[in-house]
Amino acid sequence: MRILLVEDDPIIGDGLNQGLMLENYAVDWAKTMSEAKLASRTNQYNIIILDIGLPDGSGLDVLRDLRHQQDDTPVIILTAYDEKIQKVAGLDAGADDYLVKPFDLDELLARLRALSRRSAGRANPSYTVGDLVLEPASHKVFLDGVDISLGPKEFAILRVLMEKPERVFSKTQIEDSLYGWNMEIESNAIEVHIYGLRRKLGKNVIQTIRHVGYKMSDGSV
Amino acid sequence: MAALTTVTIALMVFLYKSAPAKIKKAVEHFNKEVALVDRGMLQGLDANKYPSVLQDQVKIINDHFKSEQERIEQEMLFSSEASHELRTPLAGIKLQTQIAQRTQDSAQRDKALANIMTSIDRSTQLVQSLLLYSRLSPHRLKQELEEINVILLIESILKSLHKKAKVREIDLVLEQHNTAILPMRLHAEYIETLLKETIDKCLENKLSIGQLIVKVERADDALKIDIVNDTMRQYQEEKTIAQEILNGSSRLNDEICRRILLLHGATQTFLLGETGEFKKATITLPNTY
Repeated sequence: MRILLVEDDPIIGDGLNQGLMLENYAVDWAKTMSEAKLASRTNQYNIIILDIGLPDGSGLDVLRDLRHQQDDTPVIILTAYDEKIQKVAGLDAGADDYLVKPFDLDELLARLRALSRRSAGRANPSYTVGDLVLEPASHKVFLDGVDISLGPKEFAILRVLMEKPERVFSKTQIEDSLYGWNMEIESNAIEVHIYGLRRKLGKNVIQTIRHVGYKMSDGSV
Repeated sequence: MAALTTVTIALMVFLYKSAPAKIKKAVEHFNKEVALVDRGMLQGLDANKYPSVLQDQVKIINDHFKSEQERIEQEMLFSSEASHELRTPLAGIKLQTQIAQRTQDSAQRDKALANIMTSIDRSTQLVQSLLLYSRLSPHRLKQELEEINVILLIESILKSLHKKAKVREIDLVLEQHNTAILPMRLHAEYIETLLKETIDKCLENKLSIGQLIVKVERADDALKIDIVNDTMRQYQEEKTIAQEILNGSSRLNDEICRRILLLHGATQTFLLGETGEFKKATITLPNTY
């Protein structure tokens, strides 16, 4: 899952960046309004975390710009201002959620998961495909009820595929959802992780669609 | 406040000495209105309810109520801004503590701990600013005025900013015109804060490498301090701008500077050059007696 983080404060930005990466989110960190506008126009994000007070303008302008382009990416506002009028202004400008600083990292992560579910039109916090169940909050994967230990990247790839099990994902699409701007990717990294997943979950769990990409196997594992 | 009390007593005495029934009613009304203003339920006295001979006094009282109301609103806004500014380093501390608790990587943990220290320093600075703000009063200014050598003070400020300037390849230069700059009667802490904030803001807004020149000269009984961006010297001045829109602005510190300027009867301007870059800041500092 790829997140655009818009935050000008270096310490909060760094903390969020580290915290999100520890949870295996791919993070692109924009520090100004202009960087944020450029990033949101040129990349596809699953969620945007948006600070309001930016050095070259308001985060609300980024949000309005996004909605003006008919972009429905879920947006969560992070700000020091907690008055109702400011919350209403943020939500009316098109934000999906609002969190006041200082906030708890776990609460932010829970809200990100909820936003992700809502944007996918689901209420269930876990993903199920056949006998395979993935729980994003606890980072656990169960096959036939048995807890299977996966590496962070394996977990992240499986999550991408299980979110939309009917869809075929290209290697580039999977890479985009796993790696931020400053992360180096080995050319065969995705293949290695898919191999790892098949070894742990069964070789038929993920289907390779030749010259296109990968998808979850139909119906059963 | 003393002037207001005198006017109020005069008003009451006048009312009581006039026709009893009508005036007693007016006095009662006056008391009621003052109580309502006191409770914040009324902005001021209703001038239509008082005799024409007292209209000037009613206006003085209403003007006082208005300026008092504005002062209270300003204080409330300041407290609100200060609390919001404190939330940012507090959020940094909380977040970085959670990172330090979660990570298995010792380098990441060390970085998080260093960030926590930075955030604590920033919070401490904000608390210091709040304390300073609470101490900004005309009474204290009068009590603590002292002879200050402004040149020595600027030298020490430039020294404290040297490291920050060096990172950005900017030289801080002091130019002293009319050699004999006499000591000024000022409040040392207030003036140091004002000058440091202003020079620091100029440094933040100098975009190119080169020199930031602090020029000090005596103009009659005042001191004129120009902080000039040398790379903008050849450009014309374009416009005066409010300090709030410059980089490195904090509403808390801006308000502190505004209050210090007011207390000293000093002025401060920031000028942009025609290219839109910061060109010059000027502080005019009169001797305080």
